[in-house]
Amino acid sequence: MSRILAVEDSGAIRLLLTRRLELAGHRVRTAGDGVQAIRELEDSMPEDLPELILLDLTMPLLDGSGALPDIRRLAPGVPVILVSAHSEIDRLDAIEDVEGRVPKPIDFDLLLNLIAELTGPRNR
Amino acid sequence: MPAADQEIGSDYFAAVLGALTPGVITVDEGFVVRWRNPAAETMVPELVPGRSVYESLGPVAHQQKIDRLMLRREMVTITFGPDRPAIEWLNCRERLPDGGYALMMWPAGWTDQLNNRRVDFTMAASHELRTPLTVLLGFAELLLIDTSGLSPSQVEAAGVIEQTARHLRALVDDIFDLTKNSFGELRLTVKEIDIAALTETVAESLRPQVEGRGQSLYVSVPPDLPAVEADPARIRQIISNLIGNASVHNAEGTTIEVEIKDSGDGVVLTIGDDGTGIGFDNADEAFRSFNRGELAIEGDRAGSGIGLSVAKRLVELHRGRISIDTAPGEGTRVEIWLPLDRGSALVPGEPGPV
Repeated sequence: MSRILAVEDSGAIRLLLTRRLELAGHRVRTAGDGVQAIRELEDSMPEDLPELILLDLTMPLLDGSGALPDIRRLAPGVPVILVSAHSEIDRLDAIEDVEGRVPKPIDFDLLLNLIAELTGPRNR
Repeated sequence: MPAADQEIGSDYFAAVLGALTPGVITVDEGFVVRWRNPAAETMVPELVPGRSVYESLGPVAHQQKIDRLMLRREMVTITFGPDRPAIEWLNCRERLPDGGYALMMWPAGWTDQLNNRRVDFTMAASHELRTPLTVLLGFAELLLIDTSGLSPSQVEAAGVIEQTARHLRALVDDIFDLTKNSFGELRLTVKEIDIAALTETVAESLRPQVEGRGQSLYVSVPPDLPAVEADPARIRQIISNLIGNASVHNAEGTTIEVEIKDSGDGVVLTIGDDGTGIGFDNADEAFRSFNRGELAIEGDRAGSGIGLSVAKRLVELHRGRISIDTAPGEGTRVEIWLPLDRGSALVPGEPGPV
């Protein structure tokens, strides 16, 4: 199973993501905004980098699209899934450079399938 | 002091109508102008009492457009020339005592300000609701993944929370779409789609839910259907809304049938059930938001009544048509026609009714 970094400003959703993904066997770390996410990646040993990143779009300090270039630089080749409210779906579509998009409220079957697909053997 | 109603006479109403920002005119049954307020006189001096609307607007508007305003009571925009603002017109639905009509008009865009504020608020509200909803639904699902440590009544409680959160999610989605769509902000991402495959996928994704209620779902799709130009996400939403309606509003044992046919100039998609049917007075009423007809009294059935309204708007955005055939005890059939050649059916920039 995979090391996952979940970047999300709502504490309750961070807890939810952690519990649900851990239940599916993943190891989850979290960050509350783009700045924390970048710090987390900078402080990670290369062998400890996440294998997949879940990224919220609307966050204080540094939002998802603002953090994406640095995330790409610090974690090259790591798939990123945007997780955001359905009302931002137009913006979600506008951000081309991600491996997946999941609307909120999160459909966990969809999310877990997507994670499995993106971290599967074919993508290693 | 005299009672208020003694002071209100025809002078008073004339003054009120004179003070209104929108123009107001009345016409008789033959569409001859009877009366206009000062705002109407300023905006459209061509409209003179005693002359017919067709005669006055003829030089600047196609007869078809005037027909749409006068006969079909659609909102239209009429431009009188390069140096005058375009005017939006609305034919009020209620007929006047003499069988005539009242028309309102205002400079195009005047209502946008009012609408935008409402749209912004509703969009923001539906967005803000999604975060708590995610949490509520997510943890309810989490509880139900492993129920070994829970008592039966706790499992039941978690189940009710989950169902209710799902209902709330559907409601928020519908309100969001309805708001966005009412004001033309919703844009279709149109491409050639295999409507047969799409319909089957949507139906199959809903099958567990439908069969979980003890209902049956049949999907009948002929081979070799023509490709349709449509927005796949929106078509999915329409079909899912309608199958959802058919399931949620009906009891165990109901049969739901989904069928597509080639109509030559398009495809006809039918979603029918043999359930309780809906007691609407007329078809228009069924498509009005938050209207659940006689179902409204049955509190145990989920559904806000906006599903049909959303479906209608989405179908019309595709330049298609939607109709409903239902009566209490006779089941419900919703028929959707989507044009093959959307190009010829496309009329850009025409606002819908407010």
